[in-house]
Amino acid sequence: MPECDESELVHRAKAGDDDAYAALAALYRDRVFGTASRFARGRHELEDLAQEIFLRVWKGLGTFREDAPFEHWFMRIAVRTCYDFLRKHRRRRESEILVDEPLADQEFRVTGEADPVARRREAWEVVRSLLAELGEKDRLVVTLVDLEGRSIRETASLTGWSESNVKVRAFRARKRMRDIYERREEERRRRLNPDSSA
Amino acid sequence: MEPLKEPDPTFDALLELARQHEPDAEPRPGFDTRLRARIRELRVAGGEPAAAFPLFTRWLWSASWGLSPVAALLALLLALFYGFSLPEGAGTLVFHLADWIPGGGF
Repeated sequence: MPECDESELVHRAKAGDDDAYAALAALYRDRVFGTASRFARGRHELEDLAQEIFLRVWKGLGTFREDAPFEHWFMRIAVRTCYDFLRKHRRRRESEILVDEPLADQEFRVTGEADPVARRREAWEVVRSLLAELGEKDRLVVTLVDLEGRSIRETASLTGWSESNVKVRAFRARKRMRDIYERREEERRRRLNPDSSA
Repeated sequence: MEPLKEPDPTFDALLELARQHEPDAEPRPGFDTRLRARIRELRVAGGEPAAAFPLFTRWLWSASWGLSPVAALLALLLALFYGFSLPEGAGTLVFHLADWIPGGGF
């Protein structure tokens, strides 16, 4: 297929050209999988979520006004789909947690591994366990702002919430995560050295 | 004995480390093919989903414009017959409309 610019692909995809949409999806594949991987647990969830994003974009193509930036429109749908995904899976995850060991008791921690890659992965696991304690909106904001490094303005634009809402929500969510993290660390230290608190 | 090689990170350092982590985000082989197959299925099952919504909005828009002269005429007729003494007029209108409802109205 010859090289096409994005607007041309969008135009053709809107007209029902599946090849054009496949080329468009290929352009956004890394971005979609990158964002979705922050929300999904495991390969299956990741693929389901990514596919859902691409399908929603495809279904919504007719509503896209071609005078607006496609990337922004696309990523708004991606973020909205991730948010819906979190809401949909919350109940199921809660029931899993009741069956499994409670999250707070699991040993999610950074072990002091010298390998930087392993250390980053452990940190991500800890942060993910902290995110699981938050509501969907807070989780979305922390993921976009703190983990994906998006600005407050960009996050507000992607979520459709006001900048002050995003700022306040991020602040409160971070504080809640910090409190939980410090409480867990404190409990762990006490467990390892019960005499130190006496 | 704990295998600590570095101190536990503070919360801010933890977030920074997590931000630097890149989760495995590679699609499994054949993702594009599966996506295309799903789109084909949807197309077959529901016609052209991409075109359904704009069609509906276009119809709603044109229908609402088409109805506006009717609504204006109705308002004018109401004003002529019942005067401008709302809400009494509105009460009368509801009373008359109730006669048209099958089953004896209210």
